[in-house]
Amino acid sequence: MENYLVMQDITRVYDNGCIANDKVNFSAKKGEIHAICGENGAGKTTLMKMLFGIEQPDEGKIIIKGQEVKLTSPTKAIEAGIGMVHQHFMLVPSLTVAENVILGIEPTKGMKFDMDKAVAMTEEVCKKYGFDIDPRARVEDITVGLKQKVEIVKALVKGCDILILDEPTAVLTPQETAELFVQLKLLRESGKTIIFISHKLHEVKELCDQVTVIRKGHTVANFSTEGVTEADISRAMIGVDIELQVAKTPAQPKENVMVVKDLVVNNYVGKKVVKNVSFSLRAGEIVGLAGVEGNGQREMIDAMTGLGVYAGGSITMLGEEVKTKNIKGLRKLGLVHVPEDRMTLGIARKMSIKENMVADKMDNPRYAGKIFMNKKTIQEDTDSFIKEYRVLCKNGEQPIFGLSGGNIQKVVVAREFTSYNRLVVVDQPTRGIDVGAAEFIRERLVQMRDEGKAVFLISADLGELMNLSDSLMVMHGGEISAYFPDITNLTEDELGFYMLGVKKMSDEEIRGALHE
Amino acid sequence: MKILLALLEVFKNPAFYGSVLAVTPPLLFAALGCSVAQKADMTNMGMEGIMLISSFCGTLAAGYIGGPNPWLGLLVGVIVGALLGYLVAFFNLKMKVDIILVGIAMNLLGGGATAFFLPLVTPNHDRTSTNSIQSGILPLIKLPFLEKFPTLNAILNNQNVLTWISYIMIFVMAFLLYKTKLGLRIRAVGENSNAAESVGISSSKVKTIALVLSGILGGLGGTFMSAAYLSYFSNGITAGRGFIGLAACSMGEANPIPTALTSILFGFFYALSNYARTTGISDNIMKMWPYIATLIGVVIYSINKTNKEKKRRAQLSEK
Repeated sequence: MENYLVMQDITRVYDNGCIANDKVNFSAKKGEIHAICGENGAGKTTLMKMLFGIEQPDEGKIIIKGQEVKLTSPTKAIEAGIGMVHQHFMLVPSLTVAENVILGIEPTKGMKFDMDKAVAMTEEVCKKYGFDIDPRARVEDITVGLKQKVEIVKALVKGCDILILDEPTAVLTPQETAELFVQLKLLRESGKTIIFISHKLHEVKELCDQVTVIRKGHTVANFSTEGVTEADISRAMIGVDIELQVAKTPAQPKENVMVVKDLVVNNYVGKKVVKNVSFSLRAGEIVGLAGVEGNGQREMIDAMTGLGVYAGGSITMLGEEVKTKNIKGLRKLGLVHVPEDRMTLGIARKMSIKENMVADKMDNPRYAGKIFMNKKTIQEDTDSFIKEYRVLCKNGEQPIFGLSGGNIQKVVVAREFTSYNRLVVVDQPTRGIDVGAAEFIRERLVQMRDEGKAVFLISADLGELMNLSDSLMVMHGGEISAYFPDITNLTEDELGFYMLGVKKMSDEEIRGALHE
Repeated sequence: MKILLALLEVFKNPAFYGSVLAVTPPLLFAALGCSVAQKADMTNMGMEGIMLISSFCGTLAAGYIGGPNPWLGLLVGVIVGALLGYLVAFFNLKMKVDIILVGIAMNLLGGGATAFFLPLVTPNHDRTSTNSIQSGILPLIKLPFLEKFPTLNAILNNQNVLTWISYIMIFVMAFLLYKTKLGLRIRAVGENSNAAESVGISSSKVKTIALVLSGILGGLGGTFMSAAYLSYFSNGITAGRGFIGLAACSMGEANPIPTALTSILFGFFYALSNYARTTGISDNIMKMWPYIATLIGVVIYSINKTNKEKKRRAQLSEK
């Protein structure tokens, strides 16, 4: 059958020079479920945003039913028969299901909005495609699974032929997922083209006909799911890149600094996303954490660093329960954190480099008395930090937002590493920054370890994890799926299997992560 | 004891309730205006300034064009209100100025500009009010058939036409927000503008419309002050009614009916302060009442809201 949708040589370069898509090719037939797989940051979402008119490609063509289309806004995309179910629901909680479904195409009767017609329209689509939803229920009262169905109905009611689902199962329970799959297969039979974005390979294998794999902005593979195994897809997704090696000696781990026991964390909608995780971080060791984003790492790290709450189990730092301490108290114990989202959590954008560097040190009598700051030592020390951490800037007075991402990160790292610390939590420390800065930060991490600090490294960059970590944990589906006390013989392929849930270690092996 | 008896005497007097109805409209217009903007997630902090400027412009138009012509004044007041509402939207949505700052600027402008222009445009160079021009007053609605029922007569008869319009407006706004396409869009944009954008609704357009509506209601409220409550404009004539409206709106969670009920409650205290002399309570103390009531109301509201939030969080962490 002819290709129904073709995206040809799509290139998208962001303003900061980051190439999100580099001549990506993607095509889908009528009546198929087509998966797009790729790691976070591979460019899947950017590609879909262009298909839904939220962003425009710099180069390349989008062809639907043999006709080239220019999708300059979501409205245009909707008119072209494209519907999208976003990862974060685009619903208005206090409105009813029917009101949400017809938002944007509201039927009217005279001056009034025609609620009965809206309900009828919703019911019609529900009946046609076998959804069981009460159109008059308020969206805030229904379950997450139902909310997702509302999203799908919302797209269908506008007459879409191509339905994009961005990681639809991320928020669903297994039962809801199974139900969704039945529904999607029904839609396929009625001739809809479904684009299914996911990194859960067993789901892709179960549901999809075709799979396109994107890695670092390139299309690297296109298979029919019939003939491939999950391992093949995983290999195409992860790939192997030779990274610069940071030299380091074998680790000499000492006492436990942080102990996490049977940790349970719920996310903001109350879903259990970290399930009875136990491990410990020891002084003089870099522990790496691998995992596809969205498998509970975010919530676990928030709980560990005092940014979030946890519902069960315990996290103790040097014998003190983390829950009972505020962030200031935790920092006094020696916890420092280089957060993933450095622009929001790492810096105060409008303040100077100098102010950012000493922002956490105001309790230190070296920098501030009871009332006044000690201008002179602040000046001297920040100057030496800037030198030591090779921050490229005119001087410490410069506002921080004018710096490049790499240099901003160096300021954050400088502040955190120069505070009193026993445990260093670094989350994606080198994401989006240049090679030189990345290498510098990696060297500092090894140096910190050699000074006897505990280092917890979370990274999506497998090369970095494999190079820096002394031992490595993998997180999948809210659990530790593997623990490697020694990673010398570990291959990236092998790691990929655990990250994507193709393999799981025995409980015995995983328990090794907790050192008594 | 004496004071309580005097108060009781006031509450027994039907004319008092008529007075409640007569002093509430500016609060009501302001509160409804704030609520339509609030539903679109735009806090119209500048309501007070919008009311002042439209009152001023309306009075001048009524006085200078066609001899006392209060209806023309009303029209001009409403148009000026709408324009000012648009201005707030423009500065916030296009020029990206914080909505609260735009509101504060509007209030300062309202107080300053009206005081500045007042002596320039009045024949006697009045400094405090437009006494020297005749701007007239909007007609009263006479209901002769009520004369048989003295109580109802005292409450409802001879109320200003704009008073009636203000109470009708409660239902108009409730209809607009909950029964029309525009209302649905305003609520959708206010609650989750991303959701609205994702189905092709322009959130800035909807927000602008909401603020223009808010300005129109502000214009009605402002004109009420100078063409119904009084028959001239004077400096600071609104005396904080825009802010009280904002408070009523936030206590009514921007829903028209609860917002209106809160406004009427505030109106009750306003009327009471007008009756102060007859009770023997100091005038100054009675004049504080509307503001104290507002303060207490807002505190109760925020305590309730915090408790609700706490409960919600507790439920989340239990799951």
